[in-house]
Amino acid sequence: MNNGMNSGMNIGAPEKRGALYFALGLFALTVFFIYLSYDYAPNVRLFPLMVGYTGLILCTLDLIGLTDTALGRIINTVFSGTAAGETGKVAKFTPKLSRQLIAMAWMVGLVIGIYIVGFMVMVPAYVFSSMYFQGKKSVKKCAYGAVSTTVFVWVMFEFLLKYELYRGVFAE
Amino acid sequence: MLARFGLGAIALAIATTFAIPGAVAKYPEKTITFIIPYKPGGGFDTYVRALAPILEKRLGVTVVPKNMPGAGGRKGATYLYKSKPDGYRISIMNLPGKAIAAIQGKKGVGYDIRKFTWLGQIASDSYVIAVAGKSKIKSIADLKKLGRTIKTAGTGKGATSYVVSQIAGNILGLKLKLVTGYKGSSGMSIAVIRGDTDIGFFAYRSYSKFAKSGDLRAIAALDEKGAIKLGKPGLSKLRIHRLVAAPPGLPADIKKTLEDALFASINDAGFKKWAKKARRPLAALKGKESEKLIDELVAFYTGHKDKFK
Amino acid sequence: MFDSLLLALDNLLTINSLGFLVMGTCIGLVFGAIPGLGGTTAIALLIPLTFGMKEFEAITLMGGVMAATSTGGSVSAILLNTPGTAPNAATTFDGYPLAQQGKAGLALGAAATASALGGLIGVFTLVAVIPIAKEIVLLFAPAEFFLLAVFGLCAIAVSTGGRLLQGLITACVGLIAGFVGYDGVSGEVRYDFGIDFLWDGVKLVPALIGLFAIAEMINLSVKGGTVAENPEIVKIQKVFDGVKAVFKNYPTMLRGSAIGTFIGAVPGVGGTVAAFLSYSTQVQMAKDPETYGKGNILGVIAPESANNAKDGGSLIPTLAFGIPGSAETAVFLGVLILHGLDPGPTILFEHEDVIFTLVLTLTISCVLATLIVLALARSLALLTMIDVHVLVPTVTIVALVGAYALQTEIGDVYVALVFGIVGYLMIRFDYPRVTFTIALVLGEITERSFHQTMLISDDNWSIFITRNISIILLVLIAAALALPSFRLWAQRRKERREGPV
Repeated sequence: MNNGMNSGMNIGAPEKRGALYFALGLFALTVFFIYLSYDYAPNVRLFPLMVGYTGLILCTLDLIGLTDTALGRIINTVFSGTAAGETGKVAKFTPKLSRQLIAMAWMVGLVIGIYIVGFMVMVPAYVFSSMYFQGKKSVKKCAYGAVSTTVFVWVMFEFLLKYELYRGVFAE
Repeated sequence: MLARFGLGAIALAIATTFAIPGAVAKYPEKTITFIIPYKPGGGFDTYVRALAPILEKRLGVTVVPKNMPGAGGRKGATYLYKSKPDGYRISIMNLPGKAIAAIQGKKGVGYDIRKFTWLGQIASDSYVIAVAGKSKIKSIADLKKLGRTIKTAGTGKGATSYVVSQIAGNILGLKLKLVTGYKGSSGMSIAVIRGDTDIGFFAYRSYSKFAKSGDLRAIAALDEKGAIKLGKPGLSKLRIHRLVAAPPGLPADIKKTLEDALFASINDAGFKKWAKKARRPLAALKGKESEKLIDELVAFYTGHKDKFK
Repeated sequence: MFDSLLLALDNLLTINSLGFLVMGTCIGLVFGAIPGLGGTTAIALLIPLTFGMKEFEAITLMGGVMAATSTGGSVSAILLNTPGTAPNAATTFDGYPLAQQGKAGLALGAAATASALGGLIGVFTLVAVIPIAKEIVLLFAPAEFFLLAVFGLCAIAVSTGGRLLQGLITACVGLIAGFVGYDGVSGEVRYDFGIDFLWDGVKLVPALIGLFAIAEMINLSVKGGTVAENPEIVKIQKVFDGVKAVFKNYPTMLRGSAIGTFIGAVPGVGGTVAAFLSYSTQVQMAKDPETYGKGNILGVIAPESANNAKDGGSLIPTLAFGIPGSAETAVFLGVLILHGLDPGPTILFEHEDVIFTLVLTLTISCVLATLIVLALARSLALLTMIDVHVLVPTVTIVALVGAYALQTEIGDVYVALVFGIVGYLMIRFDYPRVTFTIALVLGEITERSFHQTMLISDDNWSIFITRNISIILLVLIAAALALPSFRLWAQRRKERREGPV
């Protein structure tokens, strides 16, 4: 490895497998997009196809770059010209996969909950349980957090701004 | 001042809580959503926002304008079409823009223009054909003398300006090429002023502002007088209509309540005063007349359907 | 002109007007700080309030809101990595790392000061270009829009440095997301999977809420602890150092303001592009580009001066033709219409006092907003010391409710979730979000103006090289693409000369 020129190359083995899956996911998305594009008339799909095929080439290069081959190393060197911008902000540690999946599951659960029972039920429920189970806070603190967030949301959006926040799938 | 609305909301909340479920509901008893199928800030938006507080007074419940842009106004129309016909969702609609699917006989657009419950018309305006202020073209005859395809500006295929230009071009025997994708009538105006296109079709009101500054100049008016002058009286049927619709199958009693409140609101002295000051034309029609108008117009547009491929 | 100015001052210096101005500024700050709400929503929601007001009172209220939102948005961008409004997204890149280092006070001070100065420069430029406003607007035809969009994409893509390939990939993905929905040119709805919700496409605000706010909340709850890695530093931070940093680095601020005013004047491109472009220009011109993205204060000053200068810029097309230059000005013009004014190309002659009242309001409001933020900065910085297990649920809720409130559509909440997970994976595997965001903003205008250009020119490509502005833009594109290679070459040469490091 050439001494940390590319932060993507310093990552550990499980991380690298993750990066590979992510790159594969992007590749699949692009293929799917190109497939969908052929449903449209030539002038309507012109631009999308240009983007789609460009994306496909780039994704292929990215996948090769992830392999530990001579070609992969060349690609990494060519594309890592100057160093700047958003990069370098990568987490300095590799968290456990299970922790990451749990964090994402909480978000997905929250949104599914909002879909089913709406905001006004889900807001206190989520804040309380998230603080209780993830944060291991006392019941009193969790209740305090849940109530204050709910009151804020209600006062700000429903009371002052006259929004009717989504009430869930059964209220429709 | 915000509190005033808050109090209203509380009162409303209490009112809804105490309404006995199952009992015969008296219409209206909760907030009515007035859908605007376009972004905030445009012509449709201002009409609805100016009208909403007056309608609110007549109906005694809150009327909330809600912008629902997307697919050139099709998203809002489809949303309304699929809504429950309970009188709590109404929308402003434009013709001929919303009739395009009916003209093309296309299926799967999401709504059928003839099946909405029509509550009335707010406004209607005639069209003009305009060129840039400094253009040499003075008349339709000058345009024809150019002996080439004439470029015209439009917002999109499916918009009112598209329908108007296709039909007017057909009647006048002009070979038109539509450059689409401009944002609203102001975007079209700039396109003509800048010289992107030769001409543009504008509703009289949006044209008049640019005429005053000398940026645009009309070469033909498509109102009744202008159409006769051009020897094609049919052209005067090409107007922009701003109507109000409810979902199909709205019960007759609710329809009557809404229709009457809407008609009275448009004729309200305060609303009329606003329209005059802001130079917005008004043309109040009741539901029945609107339905008749729509049937007539759709038949007229459909007569030119081979221009909409 | 002078009479109008006096009349405007007269309008403004009443208890009512000043009261509404302060109220507007405060509302603007709050709406700016809450992701999803923003200026357009604030103005639209305040419309019923203005019915009982005089015209100029409504203008001071709305003007106060307009000038304060992006200042408010910078607060959440710095403290929570959650841009309050879309243009603040660029502020997160260096503002949030500063907060992580415990230097939130410094970043807030710099952002607020840069906002005020940028805002003032924008407004003054506006007043200065009034005589040529029409000409400026007419310079940009679809061909120029297309080239400008391409320039924006290129300039920002090359500034992703070591992850150029991944930056280009996310740009493609951003464009792909941008294709979803209605295509104005053909009138067709694309990639909608039969879902009505997608007819309006993937909207920028919920996407950004996901990409930045939700993604960061996932990241934080994985990490635990507090935002600031070293809470001790937070307490001793001096906000005033941030203020000083802006004055010391005035070239950055001036450049940012110039970019902001110029891009702000181009309808449909707007503040987000202005802020990103200002950021990437800063990175490209810096001697130490590797320090950006890790908490360089200049990376805060550049976008923040740009995203406030855009307010002045976006009024240029309004003065010229009475057409809006941004979503906020569109709603603002709607308010004028509701008050019986009829904004059009003659707005400057017919309603000169209105324009001056607005200009004065914007001036006062952007300074006032900054003073408020500066006064609160120390206490706000303490947010970075809160346990993430308290912070994450509350911020997530506000962000999701904000996404819903944008258009009261539950679909926007799903969009925020999807982009949140994608955004987290992008942080994880180091795929730049800059290019993704900018592609999402510019995708539509790029495609639309390309097709328009081809329709106008009857498929003749020479239209791109026969107009002055387009040639300038082509040169800029070439320069933007060549700059990184040139830097690399210069760097290598220097290294060779000085021997191996």
